[in-house]
Amino acid sequence: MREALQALNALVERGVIETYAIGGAIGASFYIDAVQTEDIDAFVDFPPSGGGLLSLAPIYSALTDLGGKLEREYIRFGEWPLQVLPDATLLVHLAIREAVAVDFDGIPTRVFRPEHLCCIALETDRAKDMLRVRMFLEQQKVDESVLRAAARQFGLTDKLTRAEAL
Amino acid sequence: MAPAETKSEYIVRAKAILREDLRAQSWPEKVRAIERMNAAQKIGQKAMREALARKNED
Repeated sequence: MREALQALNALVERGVIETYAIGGAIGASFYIDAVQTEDIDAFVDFPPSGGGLLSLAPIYSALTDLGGKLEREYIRFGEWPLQVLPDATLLVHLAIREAVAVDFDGIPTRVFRPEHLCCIALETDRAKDMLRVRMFLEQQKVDESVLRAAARQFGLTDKLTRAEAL
Repeated sequence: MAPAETKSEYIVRAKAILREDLRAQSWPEKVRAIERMNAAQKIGQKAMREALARKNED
């Protein structure tokens, strides 16, 4: 995972992306028990482009230059396939902007805040995502009042109620 | 296993200890645990494929 984080940091240094944050199961594992996953989800904030069209091509190209190997929609670094996801919604945009600066084995990186990880999981709404929200609640790793307010803001209150009832 | 402990009590206690261990892990340790889970899954899938291939040959 170190190689993938170093490559993401290099993208920021080179100005290919403005910033990024780790989400998904790897991001969640910063807070809650480890759960199996096969990839790293990196959400990226793009610099504004003239054309208006969003393309991941420059990011994939830069990541392969940094030693990543292209595998379908992933770029593999060592054992880990890295998936680059754009800030496609206001929720993801906010989650990237407000991500927490952390450290992985001496490598600086950024991870989504717990309430954003939960809201994105609620939005994705697969069984494993709902279970992840349940784990955050059960392990008391999310501020419930902050989560409730964020869920209300993004129209996810019903889904949160469903996760709470699991 | 403690002398007065039944097998099921021991299992419940061991699982609780394991759970606490997992929670106490640092982020890199948790990621390494996921890497081990993935490696174990690949070994399991390979064994399954080989067993199926053998079954098809018979």
